[in-house]
Amino acid sequence: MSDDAVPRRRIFLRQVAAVVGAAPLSLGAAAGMAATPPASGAAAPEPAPAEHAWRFFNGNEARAVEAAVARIIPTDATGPGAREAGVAAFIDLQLAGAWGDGAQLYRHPPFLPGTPQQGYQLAFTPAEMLRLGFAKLDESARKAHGAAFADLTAQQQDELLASAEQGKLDFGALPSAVFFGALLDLVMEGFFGDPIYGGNRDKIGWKLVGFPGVHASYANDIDRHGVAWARPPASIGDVS
Amino acid sequence: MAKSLPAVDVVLVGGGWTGSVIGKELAAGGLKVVVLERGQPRWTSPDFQAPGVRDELKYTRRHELHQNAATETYTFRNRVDETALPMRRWQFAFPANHLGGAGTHWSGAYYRWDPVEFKLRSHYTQRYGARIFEDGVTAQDWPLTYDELEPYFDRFDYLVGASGFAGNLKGVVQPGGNPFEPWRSRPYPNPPMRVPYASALFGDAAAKLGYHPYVQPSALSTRPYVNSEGLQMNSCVYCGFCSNFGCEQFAKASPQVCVLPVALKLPTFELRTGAHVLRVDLDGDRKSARGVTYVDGSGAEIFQPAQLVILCAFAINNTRLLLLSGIGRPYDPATGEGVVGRNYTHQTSSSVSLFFDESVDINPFMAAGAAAVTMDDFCTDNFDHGPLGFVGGGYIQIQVVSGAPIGNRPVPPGTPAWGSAWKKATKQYYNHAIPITITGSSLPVRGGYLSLDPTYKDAWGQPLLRITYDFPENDIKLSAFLTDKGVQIGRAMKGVTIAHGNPRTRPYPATAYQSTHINGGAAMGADPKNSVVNRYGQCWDVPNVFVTGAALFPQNSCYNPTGTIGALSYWTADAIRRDYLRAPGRLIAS
Amino acid sequence: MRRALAIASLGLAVVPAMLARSSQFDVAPPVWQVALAASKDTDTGKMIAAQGKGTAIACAGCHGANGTPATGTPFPRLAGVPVEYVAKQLFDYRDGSRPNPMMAPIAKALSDAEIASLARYYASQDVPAKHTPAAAAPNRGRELARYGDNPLAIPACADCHGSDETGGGPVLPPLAQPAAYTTAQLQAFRTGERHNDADGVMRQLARRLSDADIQVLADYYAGR
Repeated sequence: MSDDAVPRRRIFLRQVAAVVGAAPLSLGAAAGMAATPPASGAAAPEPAPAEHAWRFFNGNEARAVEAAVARIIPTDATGPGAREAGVAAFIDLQLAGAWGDGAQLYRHPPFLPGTPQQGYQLAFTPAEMLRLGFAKLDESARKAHGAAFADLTAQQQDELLASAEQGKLDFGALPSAVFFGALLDLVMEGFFGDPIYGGNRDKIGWKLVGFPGVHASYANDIDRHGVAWARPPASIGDVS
Repeated sequence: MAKSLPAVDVVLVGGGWTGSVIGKELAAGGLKVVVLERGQPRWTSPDFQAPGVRDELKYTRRHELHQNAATETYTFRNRVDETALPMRRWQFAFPANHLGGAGTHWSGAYYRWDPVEFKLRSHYTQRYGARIFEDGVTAQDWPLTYDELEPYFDRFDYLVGASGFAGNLKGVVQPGGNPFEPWRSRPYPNPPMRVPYASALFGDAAAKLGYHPYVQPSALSTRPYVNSEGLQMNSCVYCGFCSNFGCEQFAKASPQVCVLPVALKLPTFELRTGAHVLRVDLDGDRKSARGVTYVDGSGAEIFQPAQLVILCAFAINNTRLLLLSGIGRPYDPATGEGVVGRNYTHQTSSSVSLFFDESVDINPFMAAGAAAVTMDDFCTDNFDHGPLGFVGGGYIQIQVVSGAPIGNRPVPPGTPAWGSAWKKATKQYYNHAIPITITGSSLPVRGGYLSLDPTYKDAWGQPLLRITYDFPENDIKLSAFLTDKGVQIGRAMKGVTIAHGNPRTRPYPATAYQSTHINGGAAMGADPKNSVVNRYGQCWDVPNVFVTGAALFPQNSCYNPTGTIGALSYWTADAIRRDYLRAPGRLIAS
Repeated sequence: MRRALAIASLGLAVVPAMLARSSQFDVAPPVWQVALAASKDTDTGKMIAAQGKGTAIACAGCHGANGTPATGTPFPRLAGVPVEYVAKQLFDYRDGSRPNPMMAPIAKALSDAEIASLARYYASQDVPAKHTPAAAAPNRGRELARYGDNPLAIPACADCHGSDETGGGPVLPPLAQPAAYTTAQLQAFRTGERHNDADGVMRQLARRLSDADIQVLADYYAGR
């Protein structure tokens, strides 16, 4: 926490009707990672995020996705995780759009198995892969524990995800490791990408690491070596 | 039947660096010039302004400015006896999809190649004996020298507003500069970049170990600058959204910033965007080009007749155009015959992952594509290769390029990829980690080449370019040597708790991003037996077709390519205006 | 200052932070950073702001109580302006890097510690509550501020100065200031009369702004 005088500067953000205290650039070695704005005592409560209107996943799938992302980036001692950050909503929106439909995938046949150096050679679009993968994950959950993935204990969920990661689950035509890899990529994008895409809510991902977001310019900071950065993060939506 | 347009003097395929520079030079000389660019126009304002441009998902992950694999990709195999398969998910390299080409979204690291690079085969043979070249390596000399090219490097320096400190002015080594730098006739137009903390720590450690670290030169202007075309550039603000992004400040040199606004005012210069060139059309005896055929935005095929055709597409995409057009004899690795497609190279990159204690705040988001402290002690032939048994070298540096956390969130080796342990390590190390990057030279091999794929096609029905390649043992040894040096420097840096080397290993993959410096297939040479073009970039077989860019490289240096590509562009433009036009359609006499 | 002169004598028009040679990797911390690191005090600053000090008249006289001046005056708001920016400007007024006949004698009366305290005090003051500006009709001022101008090679002001009241960073001030103040600064940069901008960036940009552009930009930012 910054040892500056408690700042009482108020910033009006058009998108979020919240009062956020902000510390100026901290100087000296004691600065530390003031990535979370220090509470100014008069902070209004964050409005609860509106329930996401699912565009791609059905209700059952959404439960499985929410549960899976919450294990991949858990809520724990380091702070909120993928669930609070809205990662499932991000994934839903990505898969519902052109990219999810394979707009950047070369999909001409023949599809032949290749060497590891030749990379992904399957026909699944991201949307197809994630839909099939989550269905198979639920199947594996029922087979192993008699319940849907979302209803398992955290430990059971972790074990299943680890098995998927290691390619040990049978997902039919879709190798479970390929599914898990695609899911992991999407979770990271949803946790650390700009909040305008539906994830990284409240900049949870950026606050975890101390990334300033779309801050304007560092020309006057980059060669002031050893000076920590303590301004709160800004998203494209904050400053548009 | 393609619709046919009125003839022009010159048609250039591609609106990137080489097409813009050469197109402008020839139009300024009075020729009627058409540049055909497959992508759409993009300009600094409004297209690259903040906050919208500062979007890692859009630009880096969703490839906003990159060639889209769905419409055009490469196929790949390591060896001739394998079947090449398409790169379906794109990560390999970043050719572009818009006006300005890769010259818009590049990182701006800016070098001249060392004189030794242009005489690679003869220099190393003379110093170390022919056996220093591994069997099967097809490296060769260029048909020109650094000294011949120096005035052209100078011209491109002043076009792009190069930022640096001259280490050697007219043969006199300048204290405070890079002692290994080749001579230059004038200082850099702009002073060196600001130095990020991590780079300064690297420089301090390297200097203590007796090396000669220096601030890397860049094509990111470090102050307001009016370039040689009278166009204004502004100062880099180290925003950290550089590589893969268009620059919001008019600071990163690009065709749009540095030359196109002037070219577009010339009465005989015409730019057509949304024009995807399918091939160069040859006449019946296949010794002369009649023009090019392209597809416009509506899908209609159009024939553009021209007296002179210049290939200015991305690097190896020029090689593909030669193959699709039937220009020159395609290389066959089985027989060693033919030349088009031969001498494919990449960039032998590696890294050392560094982790620091909490006293060192890296601030990786304060960054630029070419904000770095680097060293040339192990570049080119600056060190004794005799006991080492390999050719070439690499620069070792810390560059602070981006803190954008989808891609940049280092964790120590052995950390799980997800879960609470991952989260804890990510939080702990985000601001206390950075890699040392090593950029090594790349040698061509007999079995490494470019060809047309027999099976897979692009969205226009044309065969994809096939890359067949694996590293020669030379480059693996080189990478191991350089990476080890990097580990030693890392261990000497203040605050470092972990220094983990990641040398390049075989097999060469199409899956991980190593660099966009993919080269070759239209090697420049003195002899048609081992080259596709002569010393001016003119095709031996079809003298009214010129090739530009990295396709010309017979092998790759450790140094980034754009400075050399820019110099060669001015070199070719001058040769066309001075020599070719006096006897058009004929090979320029050497 | 001495270092700047030494570097300038090499024939390069650079400011101290730029490296004239490529084997120097560290730059001396700016004087305002050193002063701010030495103390966190705001009480001294609060007192000087209200009462003045010696020949230095009270800041509040022009800049308003709590750093928000009365509407209609040309004096800039100081409330909530980044601490580093206020500090740097006072140092620049003091040594003449930013010529200003009103501010010079005031700044000259202040010590390093007093400058630091004043800057901290003002940075901690509330920015005046802003109404959301009614969606402005797209006009030249808004276009320049948000998108820049391609033929003039002018990037959006917001690229560096940010889009809210906090400015773009330590020495990149927020631009929501009285129109008369903004106009005066842009004109001063344009003539070079104001020249304490790093690398001459603002001077170069201002030279490509017409009188009309300066006016619409000042009006745009006055309404923020």
